[in-house]
Amino acid sequence: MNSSQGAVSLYAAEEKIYPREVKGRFQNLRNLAVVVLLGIYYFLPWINWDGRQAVLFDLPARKFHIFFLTFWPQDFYYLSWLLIIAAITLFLTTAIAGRLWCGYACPQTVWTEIFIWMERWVEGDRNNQMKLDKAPWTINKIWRKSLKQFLWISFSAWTGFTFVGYFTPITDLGQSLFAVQLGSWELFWICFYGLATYGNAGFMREQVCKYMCPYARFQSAMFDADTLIISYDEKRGEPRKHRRKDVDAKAQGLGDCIDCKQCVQVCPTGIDIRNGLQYECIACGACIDVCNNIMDKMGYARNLVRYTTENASKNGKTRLLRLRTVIYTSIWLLAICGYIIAISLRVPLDLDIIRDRNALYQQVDANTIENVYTLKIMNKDREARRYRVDVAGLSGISTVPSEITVEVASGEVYNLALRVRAPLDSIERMSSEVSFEIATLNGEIQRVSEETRFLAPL
Amino acid sequence: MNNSDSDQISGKPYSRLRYVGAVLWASFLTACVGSMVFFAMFDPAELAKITTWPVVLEIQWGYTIGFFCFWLLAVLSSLITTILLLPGNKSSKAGNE
Repeated sequence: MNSSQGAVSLYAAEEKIYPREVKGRFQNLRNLAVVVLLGIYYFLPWINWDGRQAVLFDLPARKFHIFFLTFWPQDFYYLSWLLIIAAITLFLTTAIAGRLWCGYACPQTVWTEIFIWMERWVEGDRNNQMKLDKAPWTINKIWRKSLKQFLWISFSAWTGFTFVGYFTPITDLGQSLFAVQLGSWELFWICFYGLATYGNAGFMREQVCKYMCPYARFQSAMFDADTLIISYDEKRGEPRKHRRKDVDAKAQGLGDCIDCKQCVQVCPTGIDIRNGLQYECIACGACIDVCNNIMDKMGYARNLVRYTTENASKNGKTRLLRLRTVIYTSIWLLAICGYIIAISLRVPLDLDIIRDRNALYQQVDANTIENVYTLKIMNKDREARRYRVDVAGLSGISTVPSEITVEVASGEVYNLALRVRAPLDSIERMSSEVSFEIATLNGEIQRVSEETRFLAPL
Repeated sequence: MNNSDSDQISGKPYSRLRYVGAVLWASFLTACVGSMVFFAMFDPAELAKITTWPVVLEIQWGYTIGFFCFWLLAVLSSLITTILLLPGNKSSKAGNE
């Protein structure tokens, strides 16, 4: 807008983009993605499993329930691994199919799409929206703008409510909402998440992709000449010129592009695909759909704008199997296999050892040293377990009493205060390494051991 | 390096929103990672036992405050980076020549 002011200005107002409505194959795919993904988001918290909410991130209890799996803070490792797998999946799909994520699956795109639907429903299509924005504030404009805001705000609030519903049982949350007894943190997060949705999907839209998204910047590193991109067939389209349907374009030396600018008008990021691949392009395919519709009307062949690869447009061939995809796929498979193995080998038992802070050691008699520990035994299994506690690492070391068993209910943490004694003549250092082992007494064998220090006066 | 503050492709100057967005969003992502790792290791209920607070809050506020502390810290870092990369300060350029 004020590009003429040059380099010093920090401020350039963004012109609002009014994407024109489009119908076609890719738009149908996008609509499907919106319905499926938002459907999952809004309805998942309402599903129950085994008498509790199927997906619940129970922060006070520090347990994450995802259907039949329960994750503890100690399983953080599994969660980060899952995120790494998700990232590799993204890299792989980007290398093969380009910005599929951006155009169809990114929450930013999906929520923006539904906000645009609401806007269109209230304000009409692109032309009506532009007219309405320029028009003076009449009753009609006030009514339409307020209705749109009402829809947007309600939808955002519902989004925020659903978000909080992943962290507190959503039926309870609904009840306290209707009883106007929402807790402060719940209210805060409903507002915060709702506001973020409103801001991102209603107000910022494509600017999030253009200016804020890190993936949009580094995805080019995954691109090569065989990556699917949206591209305008310049050879076929140029020279572009507006013409009537009955004009013989060949005779006049014209290309197939009729310069109707529909591809620019439908673009959610407001670019002209005919200028070549641009980093703003989120590969949504709207321009393909609209151009195909125009080509049909003109009686020309489709795919003047199409999904293609650099290699396909040069020599007609796309290699799916190439070093990049092979490497990404191998890493991807390796990560998934590793994850499955790790999950199946997971021992649902955890042990934390805390040394007594008050006394480093105690001399019980001339030749016996005692250390005190607190063992936190966590039964992550789905049934109660009995465990035997053993200590090893020094000759003659033993717990007091020497045989200790504890019963821990499912999902509980047992705090065991434990005295351990060792004969002084077996100790060589002021601080020796000893280890505690916890093993099950009933059911399948599970054991876990953890190391700690045994202190003595030397 | 070309350190003009305009978009290298479109040639337009960056909007203010662009700076605000980049700072907030980058630090938001960092704060998510930070608070995830932090709270996987530390239970705010345990932390509450060894600290004193002027008010008694639900445990979820512990997570909330923790997250926003991380965010604030990350915003500070992003903000300083942005300020350092801003080309506005012409005097340093003049001094170099």
